[in-house]
Amino acid sequence: MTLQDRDDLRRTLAGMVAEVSEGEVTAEQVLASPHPLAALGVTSITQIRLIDAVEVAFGIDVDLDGDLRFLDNVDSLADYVRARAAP
Amino acid sequence: MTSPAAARIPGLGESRTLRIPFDAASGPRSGPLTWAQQHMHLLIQELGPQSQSVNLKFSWPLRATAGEDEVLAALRDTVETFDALRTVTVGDEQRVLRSGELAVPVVEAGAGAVVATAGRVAEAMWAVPFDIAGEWPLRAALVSSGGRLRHLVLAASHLAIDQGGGEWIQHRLRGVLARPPAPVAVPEPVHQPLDEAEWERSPEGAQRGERAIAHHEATYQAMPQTMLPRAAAEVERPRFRYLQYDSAALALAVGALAARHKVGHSAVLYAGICAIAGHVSALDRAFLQLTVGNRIAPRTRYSVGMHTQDVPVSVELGDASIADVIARSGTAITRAARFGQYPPVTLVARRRAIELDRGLSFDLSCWLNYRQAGTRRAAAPVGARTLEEAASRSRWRWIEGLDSSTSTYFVFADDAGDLLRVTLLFDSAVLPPDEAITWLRGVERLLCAAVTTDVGMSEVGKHTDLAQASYGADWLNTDAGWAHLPTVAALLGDAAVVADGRDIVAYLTGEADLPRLHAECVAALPGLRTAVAPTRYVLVAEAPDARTPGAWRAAPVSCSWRPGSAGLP
Repeated sequence: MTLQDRDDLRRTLAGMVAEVSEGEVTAEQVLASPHPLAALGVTSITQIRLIDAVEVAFGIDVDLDGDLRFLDNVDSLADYVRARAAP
Repeated sequence: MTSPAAARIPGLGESRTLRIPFDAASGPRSGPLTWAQQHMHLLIQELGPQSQSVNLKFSWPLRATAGEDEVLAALRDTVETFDALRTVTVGDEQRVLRSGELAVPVVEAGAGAVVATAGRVAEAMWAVPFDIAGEWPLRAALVSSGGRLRHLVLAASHLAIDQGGGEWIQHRLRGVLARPPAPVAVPEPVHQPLDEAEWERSPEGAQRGERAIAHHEATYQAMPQTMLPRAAAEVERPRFRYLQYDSAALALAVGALAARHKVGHSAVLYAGICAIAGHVSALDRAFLQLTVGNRIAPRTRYSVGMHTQDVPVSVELGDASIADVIARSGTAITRAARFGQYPPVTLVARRRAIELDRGLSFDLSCWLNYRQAGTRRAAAPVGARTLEEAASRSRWRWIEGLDSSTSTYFVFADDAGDLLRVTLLFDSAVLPPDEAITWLRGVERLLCAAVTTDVGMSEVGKHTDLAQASYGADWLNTDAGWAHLPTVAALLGDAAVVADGRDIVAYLTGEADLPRLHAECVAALPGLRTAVAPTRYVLVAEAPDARTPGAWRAAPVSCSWRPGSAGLP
C-alpha cells in the first residue's frame, strides 16, 4: 500500500481497526472518538492483529520494544506509519 | 494403525468397543514439526515416560436424539477433516496418515451416574501417556445409559492439538452435542499443521521467528535467575501437588482492574502473581513463563492443531505501585503475545549463550496459563464490601498430585466471568503447601485491595500476611538475583568468593583456565536455585595471609576476567 495524505491514512487505519476488531468498533467511531482506542473496546488481541495488518499493508516492522503509546489512537498511529513507511 | 491405548487404559479394556474406520481425502504426507510442536516435543522428552500431565481431555454431553451411527459419523468426519488427529511423530518428523481405525469403547453408566462416569473415563484416558509414534493422538470413548449414548469423552496428545484446537473439534462435532457452541463460519480450506510448518520456513515466517527470538533474548538479559532462590526440601510423595482455588472476588477484582488500566485480564493476574513472588523473594524484577495461544493470525485462528508456546515475560517491580505493575504487565504481555511463535531450538541455544554470559541458569519452571472459559461481563463498579463478601465465599481444595513435573508453580486460570478458578500445580519441595495456599489468598487479597486503594509494592506483606524472605549476611543480591556465597564458593573448589557491590568476585591463585572454570560453574547451576556464577574472576599470584575480603581485594592481580567480555587480557 502506498502512503496517502494524512486524512486518507487515518481513514485507512480506522478501517483496519474496524476490521480486526470484528465489529467491536466501527471506522466512524474510531475517527470521531476523542478517546483512546482501548476505551472504545480495542483489546490487546485486537492491538496485535492491528500491528500485523499495519506491517503487511505498509511493509514496515512495528517496534514493540519502545514506547507503545503510538497505538493509543489513530492519529498517533498515522504519525508512526508515516515516519517509517517509504514515501 | 488402530487405537492400542484403549486396551491399556484401566477400566476401558472390558468395555464394548465400536470401531470407526476412516479414509481421509488427502495424505499420507510428512514434514518437519512446527515450532509449537517442537516446543511440546522438547517438553515431553524432558518429562520422560510419565508425560501424561500435558495430555488434554474433553467431555461433552450428547444430544438426546443423537444415535450411534450419527455420533460415529461425526467422529469419522472430524478425524478425516483434521490432519492433526491422524498424525504420528517419528523423531523430528510428523507423519500424517490417511486411513486407519479409531477404537471407541462404550462405557455403561448407572442411572444418575452419567456425568461422574464421564469424568472417570476422561481421567482414565488422560492418565496414560501417549505413544506419540505408535498411537493415534486422539482417544475417544462414549458413555451410555438407559439404552442411549449420553456423553462423548476425548483425550488428546498435546503434541497434536492445544486447548484452542479442542474447541474447534467441539465446533466440528456440534451437530451431535447437547450444548453445541455457536456456529462460526470457519474458512476453507482447513489450515493443517504441515501448512503451518511450511509458513514457518517461508521468508515471512523466518523473519517473524528471528524478531521473536530477538525480543525474548532481550527479556533474558534482564531476568533474575529464579523467582524462588531457596533450596529444595525433602518431601513426601507426591512431590507435585494440585491446589484448586475458586474465587468470585478475584474475578471481580481482575475485571475491575483490567477495565481501569485498559489491559487484558491475564495481565492483571500476571501482575498479582509477580507482585507476590517478587515480594516473597525480595526481588525487584519478576518473571513468569506465559502460555501464548498463537491464534491471532487469521490462518491459525480456526486451526485444529498445536500452536501454543511458552514465552518469558518479565516485569520490573522496584518502587512501583500495584497499578504500575499492572500497566507494565499489560505492555509486557502484549509484546510477548506478539512474539509467541518462535523456533524453540534456536531460542534454547541463544538462551544458553546468555546464561553463560550472565553466569546463571534460568529456572523456567514458573508459569501462567490464563484461559477465558465463560462469557466476559462488562466490569461494573465494585466496592470494598462487595469484594470482602465475595472473598468470604472463596474455596480451595486439594486434587491428586504427581510425582513428575517440570513446574515449580504452574498457575492455570480459568476465567468463567463471575468466578475465577485458579489451579496451582506446584513443587512442594520448594513451595510448601501451606505457603501455596497463602500465595493464592495473597493474590486475591492484593488485587482486591488494589481495586479500592493505591497499594505500593512495599505494602504487599501488609495486605497478604506473606513474609518477605530474610537473607543472611552470606547472601548477595546480584544482577542475576540472590546468591548464597558459600554455595557459590563450593562450586568453585579452591576459590575465595567475595562480594563487591552487586558483583561476586572469585579469587584464585596460581594458574586457571577461567572461561572453562566459569563454564563448569554455570553447568552446575541447573536445579540449584541458591547460587549463580561469579561476575568476575581474578587470578592472584599468592593468597593473602589474612583470607578476608579486604585482603583478597588488595592482593596483586595477575589476571582478571569478566564473563561476557571479549576474552582474557
